[in-house]
Amino acid sequence: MIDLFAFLCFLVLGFGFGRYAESQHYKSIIKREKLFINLPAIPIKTPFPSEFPQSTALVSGNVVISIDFFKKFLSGLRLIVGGRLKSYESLVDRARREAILRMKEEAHQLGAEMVLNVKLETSSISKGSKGKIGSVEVLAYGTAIIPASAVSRF
Amino acid sequence: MKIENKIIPEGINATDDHPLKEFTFLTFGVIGTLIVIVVLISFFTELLAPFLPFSWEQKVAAQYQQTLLLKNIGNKSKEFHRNHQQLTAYLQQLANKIAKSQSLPADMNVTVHYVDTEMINAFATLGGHVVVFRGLLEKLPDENALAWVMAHEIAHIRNRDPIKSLGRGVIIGIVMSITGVAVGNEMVNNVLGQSGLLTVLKFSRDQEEEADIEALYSLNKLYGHVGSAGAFFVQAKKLQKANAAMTFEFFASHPLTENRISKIEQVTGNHGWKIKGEIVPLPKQLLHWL
Repeated sequence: MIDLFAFLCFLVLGFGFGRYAESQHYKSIIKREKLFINLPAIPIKTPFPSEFPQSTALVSGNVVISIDFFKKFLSGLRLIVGGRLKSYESLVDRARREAILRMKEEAHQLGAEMVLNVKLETSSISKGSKGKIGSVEVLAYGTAIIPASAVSRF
Repeated sequence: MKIENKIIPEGINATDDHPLKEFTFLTFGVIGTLIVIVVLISFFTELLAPFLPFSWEQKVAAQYQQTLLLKNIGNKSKEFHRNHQQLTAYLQQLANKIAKSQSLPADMNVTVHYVDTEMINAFATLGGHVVVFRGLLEKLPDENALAWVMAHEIAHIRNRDPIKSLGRGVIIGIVMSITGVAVGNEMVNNVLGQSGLLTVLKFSRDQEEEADIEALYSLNKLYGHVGSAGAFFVQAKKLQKANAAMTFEFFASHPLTENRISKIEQVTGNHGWKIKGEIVPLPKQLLHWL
């Protein structure tokens, strides 16, 4: 009985805070993506012959996002009936975009004009440990192409 | 060639669907299905349980009866043993009378055990064993009240309730552990387990009510009236007040005391049974035996 009440409390809290955090995060992601629109990050490996970078640098951004109680509960029920794990999809989407944004931020501070050879890696922090709230880590890294005009700033 | 990133369109990787929609769909779908399964299984176990021979039930019971008795008697004095024997003999002859009044099948024999603990309770279990606790004997005012409680427990045995609940428990346990393994998520397991359990309790409440009514029949047959039938509940009510705990009927295995009393009154009224009559006192030595 008490278990059930505690569970419902956690569920409501998880839903409330989780939903708020997610909507705030998406707002911030969309805003910053527009901000860095002129700093493209693409997966090609070598710069075009027309570009003559003065300098290159490894840039990376990583993020860890935790699921909330509500998402975890939904995922548990999903495991019975199958289908799209929507509650986790938004989580991974946020993590991926945030990691790229953080990488871009680093590149921006170095004065880069683009990031090439972008790669993404992901891992789950609490893999396999039962009963623990899981979280996802996404690491984005690439080569920042820094033009001559920016190099002089160092 | 111009290299650029475009604004990412929303709603491809993550949907804009409201999560509560999914939540409602999944929760009611899964829990609803589970309840249907549990109800169906319980129904069939109830149908089939009485076909298990009583001797099989006795065999199962014999396995743990030893531990119960050893724990009960342990290393007590000789006098304790003598009192214990006399008390058990008294309870047993009362049980035999009741069993006769309920016309139990020939192979179904009731064995009474007395356990020396505070608990104000009695229960019936597999193999026709009825266990009465000291706390109950101390609280009951007369033999009629005791007979009602014992008749209630013997009615459980007659209706094969212990084996029914065992069968149900086992099968529901299997269903739960299968979903548990499939899900591997403690929280979901917990919730599913709770909802499964609640459905089980509902069945058990019906069994309790049936036993209550059966006990009234016995009481009327044995004593010619049903007085003192509610004496146990008067005590139970006092206790409930003392505990002051909130009790919702849906979460209880037994119906609420008030509901049971009113049911007793209703059944008594319907049959035109006498409420008052000669009350048989408990044996004088009873308190000494305890």
